Amino acid sequence: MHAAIWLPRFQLQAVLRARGSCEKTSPVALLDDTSAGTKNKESVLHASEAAERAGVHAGLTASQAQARCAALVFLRRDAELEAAAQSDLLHFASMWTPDYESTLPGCCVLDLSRSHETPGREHICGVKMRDHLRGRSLEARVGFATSADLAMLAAQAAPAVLVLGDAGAEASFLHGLPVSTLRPSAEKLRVLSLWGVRTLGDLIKLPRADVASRLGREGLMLRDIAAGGGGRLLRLVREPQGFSDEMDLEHPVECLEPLMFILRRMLEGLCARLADVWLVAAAMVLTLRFEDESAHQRLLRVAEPTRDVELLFRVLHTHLEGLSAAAPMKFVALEIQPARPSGSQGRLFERALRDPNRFAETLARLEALLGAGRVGRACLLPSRRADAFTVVGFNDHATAMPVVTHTPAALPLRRLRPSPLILVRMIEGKPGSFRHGRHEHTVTQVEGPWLLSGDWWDATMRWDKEVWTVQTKDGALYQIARQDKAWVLEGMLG
Amino acid sequence: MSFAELHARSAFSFLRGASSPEQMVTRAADLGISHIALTDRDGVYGSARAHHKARELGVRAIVGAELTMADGASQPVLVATRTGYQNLCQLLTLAKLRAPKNQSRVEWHELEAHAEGLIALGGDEESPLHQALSRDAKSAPMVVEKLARIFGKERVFIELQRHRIRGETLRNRQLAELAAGGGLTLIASNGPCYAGREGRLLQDAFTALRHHTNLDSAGLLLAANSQRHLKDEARMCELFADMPQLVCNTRRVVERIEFSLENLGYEFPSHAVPEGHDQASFLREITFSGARDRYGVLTPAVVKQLEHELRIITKLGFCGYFLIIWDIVCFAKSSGILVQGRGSAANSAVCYSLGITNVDPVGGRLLFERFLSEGRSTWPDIDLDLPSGERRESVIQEVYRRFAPHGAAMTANVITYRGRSAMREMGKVLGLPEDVTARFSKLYPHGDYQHTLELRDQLQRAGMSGGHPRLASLTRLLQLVHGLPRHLGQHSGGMVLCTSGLHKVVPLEPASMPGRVVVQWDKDDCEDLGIIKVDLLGLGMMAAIEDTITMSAARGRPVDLAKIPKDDAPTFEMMQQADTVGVFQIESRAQMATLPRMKPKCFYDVVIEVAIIRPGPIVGKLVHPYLNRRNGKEPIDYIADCFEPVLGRTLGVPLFQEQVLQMAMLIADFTGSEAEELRRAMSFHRSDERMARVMQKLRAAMDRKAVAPEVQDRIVSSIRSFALYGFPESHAISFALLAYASVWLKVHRAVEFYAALLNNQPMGFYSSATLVRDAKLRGIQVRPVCIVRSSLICTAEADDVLRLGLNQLNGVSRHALRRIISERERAPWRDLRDFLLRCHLSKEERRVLASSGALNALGHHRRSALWEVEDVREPDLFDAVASAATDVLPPMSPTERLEADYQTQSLTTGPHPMSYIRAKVPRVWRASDLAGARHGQQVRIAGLVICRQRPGTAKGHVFISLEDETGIANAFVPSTLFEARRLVITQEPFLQIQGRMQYVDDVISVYALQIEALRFETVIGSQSHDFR
Repeated sequence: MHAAIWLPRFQLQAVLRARGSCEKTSPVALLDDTSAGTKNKESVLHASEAAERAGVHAGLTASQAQARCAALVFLRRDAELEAAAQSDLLHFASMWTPDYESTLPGCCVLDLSRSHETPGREHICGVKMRDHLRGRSLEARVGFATSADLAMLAAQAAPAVLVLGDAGAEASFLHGLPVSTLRPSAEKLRVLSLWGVRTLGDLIKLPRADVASRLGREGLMLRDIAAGGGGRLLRLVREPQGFSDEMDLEHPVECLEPLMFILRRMLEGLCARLADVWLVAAAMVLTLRFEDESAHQRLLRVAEPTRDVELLFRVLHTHLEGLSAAAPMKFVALEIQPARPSGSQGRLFERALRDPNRFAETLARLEALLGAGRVGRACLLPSRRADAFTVVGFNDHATAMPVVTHTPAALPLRRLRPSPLILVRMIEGKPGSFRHGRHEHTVTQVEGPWLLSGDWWDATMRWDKEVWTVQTKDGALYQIARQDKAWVLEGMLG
Repeated sequence: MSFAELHARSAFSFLRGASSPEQMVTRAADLGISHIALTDRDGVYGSARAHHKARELGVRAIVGAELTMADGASQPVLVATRTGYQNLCQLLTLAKLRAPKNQSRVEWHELEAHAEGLIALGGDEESPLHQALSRDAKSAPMVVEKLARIFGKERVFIELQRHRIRGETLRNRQLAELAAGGGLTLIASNGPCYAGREGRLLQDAFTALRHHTNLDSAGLLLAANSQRHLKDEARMCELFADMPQLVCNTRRVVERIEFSLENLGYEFPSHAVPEGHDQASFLREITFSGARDRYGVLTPAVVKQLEHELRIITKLGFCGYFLIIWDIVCFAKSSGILVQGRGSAANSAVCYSLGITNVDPVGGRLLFERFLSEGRSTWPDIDLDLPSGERRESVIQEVYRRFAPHGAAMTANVITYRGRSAMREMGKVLGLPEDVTARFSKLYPHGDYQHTLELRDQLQRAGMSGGHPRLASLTRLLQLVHGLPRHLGQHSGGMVLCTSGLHKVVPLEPASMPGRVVVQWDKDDCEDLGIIKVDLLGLGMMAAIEDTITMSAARGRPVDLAKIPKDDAPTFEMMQQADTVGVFQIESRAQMATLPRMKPKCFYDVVIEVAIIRPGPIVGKLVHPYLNRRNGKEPIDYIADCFEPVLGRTLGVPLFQEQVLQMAMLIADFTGSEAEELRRAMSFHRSDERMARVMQKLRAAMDRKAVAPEVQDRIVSSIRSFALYGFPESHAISFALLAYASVWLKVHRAVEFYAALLNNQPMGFYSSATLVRDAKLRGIQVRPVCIVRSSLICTAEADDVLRLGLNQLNGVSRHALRRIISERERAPWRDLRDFLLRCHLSKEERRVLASSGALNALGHHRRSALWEVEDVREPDLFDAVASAATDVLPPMSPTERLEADYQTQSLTTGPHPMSYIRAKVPRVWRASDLAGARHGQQVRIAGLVICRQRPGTAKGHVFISLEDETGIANAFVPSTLFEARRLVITQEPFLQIQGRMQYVDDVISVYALQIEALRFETVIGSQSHDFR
């Protein structure tokens, strides 16, 4: 016996699940820019029941859909949410049997032949499955049948749960199903539609040999399924070998030492598993949960992938040294992201680090001290805005950005950061003197003003300034600037 | 004033300048700059506009260009003499014609060969000199030497620009040293790329677009500040306070410049004439010879008119032009191509005699001066209507051939930034989400800003929140970019001609269409500068009429267009009943609404009907007065008594340009030249100021003649309403000829006419589906496409039977259709399998044929044919055994057939879609029953939308035409209802409208109160005439 679990409007369900329940009863349409038939145009992939009642259906463009339902809310497909929903579905399937197939997005088929629980109790099991998934905010339909494809058809046709038993019942049930439930390719569906073949009953009326000569192998397969035949083996889902370990702590841990002890044991085990398959650790994901229900999760990259326990242990230790928690720890998990050991030689003209892992460890210490995202290389942004820069990691190979180049003969500017406010006295439209703190400087020569402005297109970012180079009596050269009606001393030249 | 701006760019530098030439010149005039040189990149696109504006404002526009050199640098040059101008045009033509579209590369040796009469500038940041300094300062003196060698030291000037950017001081010092070393003169320039400071916003946006990026990522590509705008002398003196002579030196450059576009050096083309003749004598001979053919007997009036016209034509030197047009017309006629002149040429008896036009101006008492007068400074305007498509292209190619090389080119059509294109590109540079721009495009097709919603509101409806930090910038950018040139296209039919080399008059460049060459000016520019132009316009109706005539002749009922009676009662009856679907001009919704009120009884009524439903008379509120006077509902008023002879034939309402000119001549004593100035102001659609100036002159003249103020107001208002949409009487007559002929053909050669209309789609106002329905309502039997009986095109099988052609099938290639015809001619089809095996069609083509019912004649119904076409195997030994039953599938139901018809042909020969759901909408009135409703009665109409219109003259209101099985029902949708139901109206193919009947002068329409979609189970992809 096979069971198929089908989540109707799967992509829409996946998005709605993440947005809470309020939109489930309102008219909502999911837009997709990859659906067939509408080149480069977003069209409706799924519509909620409320939207369908207003005349919105799959295939309409966004504007057509909105014309039919002014209150329609548009959502877009989200690959991550779909993957999460599919993963939940498969996880649920794995709780029933180890033999299950991820047939389609939003659909899986379970082989329950080894299950002792289901025979004779299919309907009850189906209801259980539905209820469980509903608890995870997924609406499902469940179908039971002797073959995988029939079970899928049953699931798609089921109001909630449908069990197909003897062949006669199956036949009468199948004949009424629309041909699209067989999921033929777009071209075959079009031919069937041109032929006026709308149900499986229509399809099986066609002579088998003629279908084969006209629709080929696919057509034959569709017809056989429609006729209730066509058993096949499931493409079973098997968990990939994982490199993770976790532990629920019986006694909450309050200090570092016992935690490090646990982690060392975990590392030893994981590294041994890595060694078995000739892999090394490229990164580690450390997850900690505390008694106050807060959690800490961190991805720790390993500068030079290795399976050396000591080295990996030091990375963990350095990170945890800077961590403080408000409550004792009750759960610890460690996952290693594996990689193949590097066989490549360093570049000839690129100076390699003597000990990349030690360098990474030092950076980790600094980051623990300064905070996340505050350690790295400063990279100038291609902008005329003063001090426009971003911080990139030392190991990130950021693409080369054009840097503001000053004219070749220009004197170097020693910037004052932050630039102090000054008072400037203008004489005939030029700075005549300026006061910085208690010091008054008389200007003997000026050059400028140099006018700069940018980011005018965004009200929150626009800026505008006027820059002067001034020489004071003592021969010193300064750069002063007026921005937002205030004068600042930007720095000293030379 | 001594400062002249010698290096300015306009938006015609395409993404390198952000103001139009007119804006640049106007700003220059405001700032008191006496001379401005427009040096656009690789062209003189904006020079004509700048010249015209400058002349108007008392500024002098200097012609120049930035030439993209082979190494990528751009060398600015100014034109000093006419030779220099000709050199520049030839150089640009050379560089453009050999490069792909929108590219140009000039080699240094080519520049050297064409340097005479040109002045070179150096020093701009993209110039070869500046680039040499940036690359390797030591190579810069060599560039100076090269420029001096090519142009001569006295014709090379080094420009210094100061934009208040750090670093420019050093560069300017280097340039000054180079100039001193090379003995060259320094000048000051600001290198403006936009007129005012605000232009920087658009300049940055254009820069981002040019580099295929957005503003956030453009970084240092964007300008450092907003200083590259036009600056007056005081500002320039302030900037160059340390070198004041640089500002004065610009005057020295100006002194060297003799050339202006006034002296373009364009010579009228001439025509080869037989020995012993000159242009004038030959024209005279063929005119009188033609006149004898046309008129039969030459009355004194005709001879007098011809002599008068020939005298003026000869005096103005236009004989060659007339001979050239005559030659083109002769070529077309000898090739069997229908041709008809229109425009003001129809006012000329010479044109009539030469066979160029078909309107007898002597009989019609048309004003020759509207066409040509001694006071005119521009060329006469002759437009030739030709059948659209390949036949017109053959005439165009013949003109290219006769004037080759470089003697003929199409005029340009400047494509400007409008609603959707502006939104798409400005949205892109601002990094707005694509769905906002997409929704904007969907909500506001054709960028209808001006009607009922402010731009800001439109943007908010498209998904921009009111507080969006970029909303203000977007709004401003859209306003700035609106109307600026985006790229250069080609005019639909305007050709300019020159027998002595057009490429010396204006640069030529390749068009996107293979085999076509365009000039860098549009038709207004060409006309403005006195370049001869002939419009070879393609008219779908000409092609349809020609096809009708050919088909009728083949069926033994020939028609001679010239001899069809002009007083045919059934023809006028059809017009009076507004039964004009498919005919020329008078088929639109607005025309059909006027015909029952107008009730045309003679040919001149058709002329008025053509002219009255135009934006000019509608905006000028002239339609109702005319119709009321015609129907005796209001007395005739001639505005002033002296206008009676002029306005008599249009019941006191000025409908034609000629009347307006004559009114001005009568009431304000305008001379011929002043009337010509008025005509130019009316037809020159770019200038409101020009119109205002003429109006001022008119008022002053009327004041002198003590014309009452209210009369003055009425005259001025009626003239103003023509300003944008002037329609000369002769033009209306030419169109009316076609309109009348098409109605006559519809009455007397209906089957051939409908077949020709279907063969020439798309054209006109209605889709094929509506034309077929109309034909059926007239009692014509329309038979479906048939693989055994149909030709390639639609044909007449009998006087009341039309057979659709294979050309009506969507998705079957022309090549495949020809193969089908040739195979059928070789031998008739034995059966379906024989057809399939002989024609080798693609899978999709086979399905279309089967699905449309075209294969039914081979013993199948559509479904069984669809079943068979999926199995195309060569017959084998077991064929007899293998051929199983074909009747596996049941036949299609009527609604399935309807859907298949629309999918394969976009029309149906069966019942109208509405007839299938008629029973489900019992409260809906049929279109034909509406005549029985009373005024003000609440009714409900429904049908397939065949037309949605929102004319500029209707203040945002919308007109919708719904088609059902009995005819067409028209609805008027007030702008408020349209805004409320915009998406339903624009997106739904079937609508249901509830409203109030309006019954005025036999014209019925429904005033919409409520609109909703009418859901139709079948997918029908019909085409409607929307917002065009």
